[in-house]
Amino acid sequence: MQEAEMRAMTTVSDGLVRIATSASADPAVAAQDMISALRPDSLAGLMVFAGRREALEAVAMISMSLGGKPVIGCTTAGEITPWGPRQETVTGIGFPAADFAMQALHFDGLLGFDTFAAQPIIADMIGENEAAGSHLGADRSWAAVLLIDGLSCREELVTHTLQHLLGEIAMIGGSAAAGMTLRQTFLLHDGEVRSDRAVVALLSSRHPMRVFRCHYHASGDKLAIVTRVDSASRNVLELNGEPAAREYARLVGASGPLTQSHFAANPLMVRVAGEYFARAPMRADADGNLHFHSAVERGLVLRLGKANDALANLRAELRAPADAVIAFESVHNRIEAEDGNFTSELSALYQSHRFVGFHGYGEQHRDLHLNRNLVGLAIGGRS
Amino acid sequence: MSGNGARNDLRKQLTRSEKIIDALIERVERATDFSASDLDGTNYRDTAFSVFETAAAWDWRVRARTADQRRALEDLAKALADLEHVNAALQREIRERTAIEEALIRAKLLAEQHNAEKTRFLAAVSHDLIQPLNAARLFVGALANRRLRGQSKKLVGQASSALDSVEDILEALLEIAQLDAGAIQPVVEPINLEGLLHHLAGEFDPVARDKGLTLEISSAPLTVHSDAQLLRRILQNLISNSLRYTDKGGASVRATCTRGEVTVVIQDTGHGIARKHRKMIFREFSRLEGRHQVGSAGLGLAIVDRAVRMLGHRLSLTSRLGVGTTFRLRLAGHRHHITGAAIVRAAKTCNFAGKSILVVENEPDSLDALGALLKGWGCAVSLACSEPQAIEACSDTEARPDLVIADYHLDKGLTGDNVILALRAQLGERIPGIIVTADRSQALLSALANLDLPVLHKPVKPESLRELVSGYLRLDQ
Repeated sequence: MQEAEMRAMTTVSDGLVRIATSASADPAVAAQDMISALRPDSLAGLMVFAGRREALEAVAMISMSLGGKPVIGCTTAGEITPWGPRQETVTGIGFPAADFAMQALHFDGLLGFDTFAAQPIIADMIGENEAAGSHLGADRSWAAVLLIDGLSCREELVTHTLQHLLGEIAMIGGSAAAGMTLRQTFLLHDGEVRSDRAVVALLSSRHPMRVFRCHYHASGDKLAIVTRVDSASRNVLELNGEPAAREYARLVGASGPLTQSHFAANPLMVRVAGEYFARAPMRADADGNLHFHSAVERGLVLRLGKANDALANLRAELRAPADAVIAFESVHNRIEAEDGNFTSELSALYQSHRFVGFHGYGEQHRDLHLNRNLVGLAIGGRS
Repeated sequence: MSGNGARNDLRKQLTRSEKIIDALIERVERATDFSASDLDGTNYRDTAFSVFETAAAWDWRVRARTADQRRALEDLAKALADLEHVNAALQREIRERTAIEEALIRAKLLAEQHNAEKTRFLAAVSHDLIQPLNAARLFVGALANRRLRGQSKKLVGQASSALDSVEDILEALLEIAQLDAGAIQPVVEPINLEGLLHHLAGEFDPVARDKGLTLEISSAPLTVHSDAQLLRRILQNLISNSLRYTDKGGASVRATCTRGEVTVVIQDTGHGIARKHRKMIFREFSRLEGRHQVGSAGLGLAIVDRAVRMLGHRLSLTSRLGVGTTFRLRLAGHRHHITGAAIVRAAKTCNFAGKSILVVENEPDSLDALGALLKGWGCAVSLACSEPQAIEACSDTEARPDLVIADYHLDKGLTGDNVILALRAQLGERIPGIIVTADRSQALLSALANLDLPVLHKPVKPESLRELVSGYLRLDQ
């Protein structure tokens, strides 16, 4: 069955939102096939996730001919498609204009992200969306989706600021990725593909929309106290007074060089506001430093985490029925599922709930920039 | 392992521990500094992790709030479920009550049907009896005209008086039948009670004298609101009842007024009525044992009861066996400050020349009609259709009216009594006033009586108006 779909290269799934994916090897063909399948004329806007920069560039080209409809997107470390988790595809979500209004904007140069400048821009966007969605009725629902450069080290500030400006409108987001190369990530808006960028889409709909987050790691007993760090670059030099990579390898019992599988199986957990949050190690560099996907600072008490039942946690979260779920998930979750051989079960769960999204370097839920989570925007069903 | 190596290890361990302790101390210090300087979390230190901390705290608050809301929703759902239970119980009860009500309505319809039948029967019987009665009366009359010897003459006299009582009974029966059939519709209007009682005194004085009883009737100058015919029948029946069941002493009728309510007290020194009979006496054909006087049919109080209920008056009864009975009739009314005689005089002479009357009325037609009528009687009339106009009309001391006649319902929810009170306040004088209204409710009558404002009901009868006006203008002189 899947083989037949793969041969078809492109598939589309219709519902409250349209989902299409193309696995064509030619990025231009993939982009064109996927967008055609979404029937863009009847859409309020599109969201696109591409495994390769070239495919995103191709989408950007086509987006210029869509009459100014917002088209946003980013590169990933794997897409969540109608076929389940895949890599190197172009996967898109179309929001039918009859049921949705969509506005989007971007911020470039995240190091200089200006919280004060963002305020009127976000306020304008909300106003525009309100006007554009006047046909959606008085009790329409709202949600925002953030796509942000996953190597910018600015996710915390941008996420917190944007959610603050959006007020009651709940936001989820995913950190754009570049496979496991950890080089540049790219983001699309206004027909332009760039790094060091954040893109926000505002959605309103006559259907209910609900955000959620879901994680399945708990803290263990082993401690790793951050004793030396370059916080600005999330670069931990020492853990427990020892070179960070070496101390981490000792704690997780790694004999050879550290791999993504080690990182996937061994998140570090920090307790904040009554809850343990994962800090995902990203890579160990030649100097023996450990780079992270989220904020760290000196004196943090990190505990080695351990996985609970990923499927059970997600099933519990999905009890409320929905038509589709826009999902952003940690790439390490994907790796852990592959290593733990539960990918097919997860995939079945994703497919049965019409998941669409991508695996990336981090997840945002309302104010929070998270690691090792799955955040979702459930569309339709009961509010 | 050499001692040197062990020492080195220990030194290393110590260095690590110091590093950890330093890092922890820095973190703890920063955290306490943070919490002390910024409890509300609106200004965070500009490091990514502190932003995350702030966000997590916010998130916790949002979740706590959401949980609160969920709990509130659950409570609400529970309350709604409880409400539904209560509702279901109520609906059951309503169904039961509806069933009971339906049964009651059926019973009531049946009773009304019986009542109507009885009424028709009474009317028919009374009517059928009138003819032979007339014939009998003619025969007895013919007999009486003959020269008869003592014994026969006495028999004829008894037959005549027996016929009288039969006639009384028939009349009473007809009246009850009419009351029950709704054939009599009361017309409530101001009635000069003093005058009415005066008439009744004339009517019953001979009856009392015949029985050797005293009859005292006294009344303050009172106006009551009732139906003239029915009130007359009520009082007639009560007085006649008192005289009938009194052998020694006599009866008295007194009318007094307090706070918009007139009480007529009919008191006798008669047999009295036992407690167990007090309800029964108001039923037709109920006559108490040992009461077999001529002319008593036991119908009088049945008529009284019906008429009182129809008029919305109240009747109460106190009685002691062998001592006497007191009936109290309560109805709306007020003092009118003028004697019946004065009214009669004024109505006859009716010269209001030079008297000034202010008419306050919001309907131009009524205003003009009333104005024309009063002018015809020689009054100087000023007209106003609102409170400001009324005040304006009285602003000149020369123009001070002798009397204000105001419609009750004016524009914008304003009422005539308010206008008169405003004028009284303005002029510092208790100017007499009359309220004209179509509202016949007792509540309004009482309220206005408390303000010393008599009421004329619409449509205004010129005679009633003249009577009231003349009373005031005379009094004022």
